Amino acid sequence: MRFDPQLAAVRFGTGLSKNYTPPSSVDGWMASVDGDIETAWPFVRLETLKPMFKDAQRLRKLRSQMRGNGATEAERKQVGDDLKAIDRKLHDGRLQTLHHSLARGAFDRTGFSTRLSVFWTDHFSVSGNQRLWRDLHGDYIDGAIRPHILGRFEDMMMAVLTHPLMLHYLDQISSIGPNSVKGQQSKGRGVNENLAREALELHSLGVDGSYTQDDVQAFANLLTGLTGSVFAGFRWRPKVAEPGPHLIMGQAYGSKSPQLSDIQQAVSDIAKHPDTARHLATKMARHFVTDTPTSDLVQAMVDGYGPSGDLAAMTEAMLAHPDAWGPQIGNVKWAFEYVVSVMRAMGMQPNRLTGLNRRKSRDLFQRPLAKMGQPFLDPSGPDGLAESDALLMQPTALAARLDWALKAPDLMVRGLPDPRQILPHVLPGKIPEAVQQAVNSATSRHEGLAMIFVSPAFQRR
Amino acid sequence: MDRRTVLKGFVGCSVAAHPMVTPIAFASSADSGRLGDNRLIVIILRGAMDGLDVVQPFGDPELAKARRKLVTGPENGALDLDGFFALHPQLEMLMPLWQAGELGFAHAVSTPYRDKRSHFDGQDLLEAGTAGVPGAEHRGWLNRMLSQVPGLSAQTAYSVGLDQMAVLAGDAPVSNWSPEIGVSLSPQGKRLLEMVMHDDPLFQQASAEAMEILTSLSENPGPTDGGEDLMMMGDDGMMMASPPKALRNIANGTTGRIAEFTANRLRADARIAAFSLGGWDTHGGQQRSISRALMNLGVAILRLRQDLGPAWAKTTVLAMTEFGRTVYENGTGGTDHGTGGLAIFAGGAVRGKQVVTDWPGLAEVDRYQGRDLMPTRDVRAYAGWALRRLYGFDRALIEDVVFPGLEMGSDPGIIA
Repeated sequence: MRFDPQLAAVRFGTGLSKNYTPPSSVDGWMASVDGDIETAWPFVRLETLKPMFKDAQRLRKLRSQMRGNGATEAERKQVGDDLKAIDRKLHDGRLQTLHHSLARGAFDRTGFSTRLSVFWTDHFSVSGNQRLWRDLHGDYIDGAIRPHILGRFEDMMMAVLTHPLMLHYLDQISSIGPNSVKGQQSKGRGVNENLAREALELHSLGVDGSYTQDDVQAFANLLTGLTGSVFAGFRWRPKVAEPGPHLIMGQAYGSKSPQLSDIQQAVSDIAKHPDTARHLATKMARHFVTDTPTSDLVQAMVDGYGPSGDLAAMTEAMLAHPDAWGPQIGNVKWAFEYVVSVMRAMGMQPNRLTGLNRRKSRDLFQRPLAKMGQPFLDPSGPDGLAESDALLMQPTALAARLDWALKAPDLMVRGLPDPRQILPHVLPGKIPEAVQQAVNSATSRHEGLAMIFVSPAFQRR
Repeated sequence: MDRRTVLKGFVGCSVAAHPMVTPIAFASSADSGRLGDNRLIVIILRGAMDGLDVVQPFGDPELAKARRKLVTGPENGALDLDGFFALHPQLEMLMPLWQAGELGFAHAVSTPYRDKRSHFDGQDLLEAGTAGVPGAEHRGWLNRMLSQVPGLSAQTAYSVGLDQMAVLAGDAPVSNWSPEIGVSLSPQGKRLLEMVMHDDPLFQQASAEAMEILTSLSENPGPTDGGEDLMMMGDDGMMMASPPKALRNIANGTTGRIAEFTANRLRADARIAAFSLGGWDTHGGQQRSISRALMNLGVAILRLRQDLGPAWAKTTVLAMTEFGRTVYENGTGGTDHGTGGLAIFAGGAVRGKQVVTDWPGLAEVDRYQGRDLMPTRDVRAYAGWALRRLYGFDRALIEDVVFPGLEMGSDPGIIA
């Protein structure tokens, strides 16, 4: 069992397409993560959003001042219109994040960088349900995740722990050291241990890792001072930071005058911990290869991760390992990957995607993803999406995929193609007899295409 | 070897061929299968509900000391239940049920889970019903209960909603559905679908179940339309001419539809259902955040009651959460992960109008690790007694198979 480009396209990429030829070596796959696709399909970044947030804040204040101060109808209308214009721009930004995420997966030679980004974004799951925060997902991915998918884990973890969206999501921005300068002034506010707990349990050491409740509390104390807002971005505020030292797994961090570098040091040590290496390698192998990876594969990935937490070496170790190439397709695709793989299989063109208005995009992507049980960038909790196939392939999810596969292809291309022309290009290996037969006997093109896309051979990778 | 691996064997030993399995005397019912007429709905409250805020022990003087920003007690609008406990004002809509003996609580309860206070482990353990954290393989106590009754069809038990209900996962066949899905496929398409799925057991089963549910839904449409009238509980004198918009939205939204679908199934052949309600992880601004979660819970229960109709009399709703929250409020107007908490029981089959508890007290010395409400009873004992009373299961079977390691103790008397 060894590297196979067709299998690679399905297992490690975003699927087969007659428009793209997958690279024929591990080196070619690693090299395909070159940043070009992200440059071609950028996300809205915080620097662009900040002035809009500030304008909106200013206009809202103005609007409330106008109540009863003799402002003319026209003046009030102007403010209302300006606010609406900003709201529209923000909305367009969110739509762009969805469309460009899909584009990065659908219009790339491999889609490998998308798969890695999706995996690590899910590993550091956030959701920004509240106003303004939900505009920050693109910045989160391209600011904290994407730059490090083939870098060092400690850099990714630190970038995540200093991103305002994560600080907001896991309540860190309101955490205050009781013995900090601010804590002494305002009694009654205190430490919130949510982020510290998840950072150890989910992000690094794993729930079976060698840490205790005391370590969680000490880490929570150490993390005070990490704060931020949508207006300012990340801010390090020593005035709310609990003075150290803080004893975390036997190691002391920080001093009487807290520094950001104290946190950096602790994150670096936690990232390099053997428990972290094993937790990440196992999780990555489960996601990309199979729910039950061999211990050989996991060990090779742990070795790749090494003492420095090298994600490129861990990723390459996975691709280079024979156990990653079992010819039997296994894992069920996540909903987003599934949708992207259908876009590729249908040969959807970029202008079809960019031409979708808000409503059509909602019907084609947003609502279906939610019905499939995995709404776009909105995991149900910080532990992210389910990995086990049995949990993914429930009747509801299957019915939602079927419903979508019956309707979506029509919106992806002009004129539905003959399913018999599509089938030979979209499955790795031999085409299962039943799928061929279903496609041959379908009474309509849309049912024929749906049979391809709901078949286990297409939904697994 | 980690503790997950150790426990896996323990969980795995629950098989139908257990020596304690005894034939159960079921009420005869032509179309409702072997579980008799009683319905059980388990609601998993995800995120760790703050039991001390939902049913406030205002009679314990320590409560007011530990919680200054979170207003508590009848003088702040909570509804006095028995002179010691008061119900959170947001659940006022359920007071008619309390008065009618259709709503009760078990306080200072918890699963055997301790110390790491992880939502995910806590929920895994709550749903597995085991003494220790189960493995990644999700198997739930409701499913183990079902597997003790041979010959049940998959339509006896429903996992409802887009969330995966581990409490119902396992060897016994169960159904899974979210009421938001519809598929239109030609008869020929249905045949082709069967053919395409045929050789993959996981897909084959999911697909067959999906088509079965879709077919049966189109044959038995629900009796109600939307939740507009939901809050008008005429027979209890709880008329609300125009329910607040937030409540209407919930009643017409996902929560309302989940409850409606659940009731639709349980009116017919199903006897067991499980779904989850989230929003309980109130680390900050709890006054605001818990209100929303409570509205969801209240609407779900009212909707079940309304849509179940006469079957409500035979229904037990059991709402459980992974653990409680800290006795004291934190620095951000919320509470952090704790230990002891609250379970809620409702339905025409329960003996309500009581807060069952062996109250430990809230003083620091009485708390678990000085921070959490001390659990004084295993919440699994309540579920176990419900199973025993509703379905007649043998006590030993509940203690050994359904909830391995549980000591059921004496009957807490929550079933009428």
